[in-house]
Amino acid sequence: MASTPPQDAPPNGTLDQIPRGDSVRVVGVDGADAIARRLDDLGLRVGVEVEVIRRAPLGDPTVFELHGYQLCLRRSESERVRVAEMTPPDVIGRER
Amino acid sequence: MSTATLDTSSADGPSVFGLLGSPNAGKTTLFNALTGLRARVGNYPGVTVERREATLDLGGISATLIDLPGTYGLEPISADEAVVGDVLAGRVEGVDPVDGLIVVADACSLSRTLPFIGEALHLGRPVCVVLTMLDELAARGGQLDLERLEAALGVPVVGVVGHRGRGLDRLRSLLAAPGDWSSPAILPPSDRAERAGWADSILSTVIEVRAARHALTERVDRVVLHPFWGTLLFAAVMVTFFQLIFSAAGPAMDWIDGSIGSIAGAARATLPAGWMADLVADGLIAGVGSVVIFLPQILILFSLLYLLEDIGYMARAAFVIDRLMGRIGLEGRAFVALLSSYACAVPGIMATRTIPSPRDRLVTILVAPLMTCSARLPVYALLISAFVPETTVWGPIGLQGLVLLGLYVGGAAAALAVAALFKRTLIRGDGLPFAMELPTYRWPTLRVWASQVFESGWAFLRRAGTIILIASILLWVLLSFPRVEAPAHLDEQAAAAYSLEQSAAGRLGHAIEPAIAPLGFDWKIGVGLIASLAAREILVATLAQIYAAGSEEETDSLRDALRSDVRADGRPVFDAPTVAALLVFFVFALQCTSTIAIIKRETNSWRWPAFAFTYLFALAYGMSFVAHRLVAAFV
Repeated sequence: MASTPPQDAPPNGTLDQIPRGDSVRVVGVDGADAIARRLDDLGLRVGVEVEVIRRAPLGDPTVFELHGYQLCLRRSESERVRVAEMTPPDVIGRER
Repeated sequence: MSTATLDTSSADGPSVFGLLGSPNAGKTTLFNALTGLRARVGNYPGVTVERREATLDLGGISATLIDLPGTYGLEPISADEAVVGDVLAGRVEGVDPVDGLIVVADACSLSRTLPFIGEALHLGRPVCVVLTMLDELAARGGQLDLERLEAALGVPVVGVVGHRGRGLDRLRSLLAAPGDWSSPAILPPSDRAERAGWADSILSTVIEVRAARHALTERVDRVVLHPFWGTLLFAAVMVTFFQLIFSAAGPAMDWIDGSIGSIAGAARATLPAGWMADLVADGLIAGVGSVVIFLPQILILFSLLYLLEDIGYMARAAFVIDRLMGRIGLEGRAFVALLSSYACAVPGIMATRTIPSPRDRLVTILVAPLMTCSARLPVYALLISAFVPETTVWGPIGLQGLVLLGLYVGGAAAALAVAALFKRTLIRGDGLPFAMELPTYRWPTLRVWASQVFESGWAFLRRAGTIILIASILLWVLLSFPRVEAPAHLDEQAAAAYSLEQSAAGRLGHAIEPAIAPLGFDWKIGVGLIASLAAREILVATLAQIYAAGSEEETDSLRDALRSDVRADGRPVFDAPTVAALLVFFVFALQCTSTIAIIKRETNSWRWPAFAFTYLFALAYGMSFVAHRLVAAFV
């Protein structure tokens, strides 16, 4: 698991803290255990864009959109995903 | 049902294909589209993971298709997930080694799945990639170049729309000749990070236009997952769901009950009087009736469950309630199963199939019998109406209603508490993180839906039905033998009471009296408890027979008989502590062979039903004892 974020994108939080409606880019997943592997299998890999769609009425879990699908994660897992704000080139380069 | 056997392991037998893919990739839809209604459903040895396979007819050539459990990766993170790897490696007894792999991937989220496909290429078997949901991809404006994907991967790539049958012909012709499949010249990297890079480089040439968000899903979710309206909708759906299982099944169940009664009556009329006629009428026909009586609830439950699942609402319901269920260590999907158990634990336990984590599923199965099912109601109604005074407590609220409510709440609270306890001790989490896809909304296909409902009903009849039938006949034998002729001066009701007391069950009731005396129960209640192992409501009929109180419909006479019965020392049998203890006993005890049978069927071993029966019996005995002492101390 890559644990050092790219230099141009400083880590500025974990996925559970990102407000609804924001898009971020994954810079790393904490740990190298089974859960980290599963998060990787679910597509939470370095460089992947994730949008926070909505939180459940009781505040947890949260629906994220990534890779063209919607994934629902609890805080206990999403707090292990370190993310950075989208940099301007990201936003421009999004339409491929 | 197909007649093909499961053990066709020789090299010249039919080819065996494994369907591999993530839980929502459309594997089951593809499986059903390829095989029709011919799935053989079972369990993998040692785990509660469902095993489905079917024989495929490929125009004269037959092949076996195994629907492997859905998985996001090939490095298992639990014992249950290891099943996939074990099957692929040919390590599972009774499952043939796989000749070829069909990797199923959702075309809309190909960028997520491509590393998984790369992982599958390392398994050393011929691989064919099937892309599903092409219709949805098109609807969302996305475009993929399948030919480039095929060239980049080096293996055949087929696009299908499973429920429309598109692409299936090409897939069938591929399956007819797995030896002809192309294989990659160079395997993808085996390191995770490098494989992600490999996937990205392929994706950049294959994805022409990325799929936009599904517009309908986005619009609907704005309401369905709204903090207020979403919660309201959740409550409305659950109440309707419960109401339909609870009440809509009623007329059908009454009809079955009536028909079984008249068939038994007809059999009794044709056969010469004697134990043979009793066996056919009260043992065999009534036993079949006790199986068939569950069908209305099971069919209604699964019609609704699969409808909600196929539309895409189940995942959303789980999302709304997950936080609460998370507190007791379960996840949102367990809610529906527990709610269904309020009607009956048998369909409730079958509904646990929608829980992806096998450990969570097991915990839910073990606590489902604690939810107050409808079979307890006749018992509660009899005891409450006979012994709880009809006083008002406050305004329109009466004491009788409060006691009934207390019993319902008590059962549910016990279920949640025991679930939390089990998750923290005996059956800890399997380390699976909670991760659930929210599928896009889609119209269900009638054929797929009907086949799922049919499969559930059939599985119940075939696999739990036989156990229930055998158990009801055994109980009938206990209650009817040895046959002792009643003295001639007794009337019909008294004679029935006499022969019941002389039966094996009657003697057993006497034998267990010392053991149940601390709860205030005498041998008559003991016989009732033994008889109610068949089904809880039988307690009422058995007590009616023991007290020679006529048929069970005449509850007034039974109530009077219960009230006036006294012990040797002149105290009433049914004093307040005993009534409280008996009510509490029924809150906890697993007095239901059908539930035991369905736990056996769903967990594929006698270990868990034995465990459930034992722990619930211990709980029932302990709590009854406490209730008896508490009431005795305060009244």
